[in-house]
Amino acid sequence: MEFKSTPLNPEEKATYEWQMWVEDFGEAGQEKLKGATALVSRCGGLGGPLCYHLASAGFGKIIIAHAGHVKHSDLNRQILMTHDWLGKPRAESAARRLRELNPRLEVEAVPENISEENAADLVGKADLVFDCAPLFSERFAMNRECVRQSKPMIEAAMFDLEGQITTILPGETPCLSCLYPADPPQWKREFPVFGAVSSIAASIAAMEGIKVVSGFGETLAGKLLCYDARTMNFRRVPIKRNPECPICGN
Amino acid sequence: MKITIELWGQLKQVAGESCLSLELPEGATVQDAIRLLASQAVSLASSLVEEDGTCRPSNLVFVNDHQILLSDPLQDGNTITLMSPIAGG
Ligand SMILES: [Zn+2]
Repeated sequence: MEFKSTPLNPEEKATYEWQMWVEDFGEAGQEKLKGATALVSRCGGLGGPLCYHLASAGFGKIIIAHAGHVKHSDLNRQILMTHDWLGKPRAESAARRLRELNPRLEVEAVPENISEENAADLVGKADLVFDCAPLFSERFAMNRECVRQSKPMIEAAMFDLEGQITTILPGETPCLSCLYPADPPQWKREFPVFGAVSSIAASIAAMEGIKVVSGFGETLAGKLLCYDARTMNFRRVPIKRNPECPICGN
Repeated sequence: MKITIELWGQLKQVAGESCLSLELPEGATVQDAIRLLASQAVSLASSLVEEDGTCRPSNLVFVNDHQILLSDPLQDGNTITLMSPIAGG
């Protein structure tokens, strides 16, 4: 997968100087991030800190898709939402916070969750996608479009003190439907969560996106990273494509 | 033979423990182990098997860090990891 480079101006060179010291990343990697547009599905406990890391790392554009208004019960983990923004649109709150952090960043706030109706259009505007939605229906809609449009999708999820991350490269790695062929009936939209646990998954997913775009390091393509913050057990297991997958199979 | 079962996600929450052990006859498959677990740990049954007794396809199954087929045979001392699907954001 090739990502376009956009030259840096002097202010950007000064801002990103310390990360450009990273071996194999450098100014060429930074120019790739500047040229990239990321779609993040939901900017809550996981997508919020993820967006923050993408913004601080110097992605050129972030499209945030998240419906609804800020509630008290968001504030233990959704760090782009603030107390003074209670009752106001979540996507706008997140966009405002990202612009405060990085005024060079272009942010498009879409006050909708990913659905069968909008997935094709939103995925079409992005170079890569971060899946942080709390419902499998949203995740499957994104997965289908990413496979159809051949866009990388960083898949990040959490539950209780656990998290899972994998990088989906259509045609090369398992897609979400290879892993979960049907909508899991047991999954409920509300789940136990600490912000710090979703932030672990967010940081790992952000790093995956940075590596996919700039083309350095080893990603979680074809591997599932699982962690349990109760025991601090981290495991990385290989995962296989399903040749009969209705989405990416032959 | 003795098989260890490790549970992740909601399976762990429902079972109330993350590690169980099972005694199975020689030649048993992964599917046999999951069905036995469903019959012994009733709280897990609906998360592990469908009403007709087939294993639910939505759980990820690994044996000693390898993703496997349910029909694969087990060896004494294997660890089966069962991960229920999670989607928290
Ligand atoms: Zn697939």
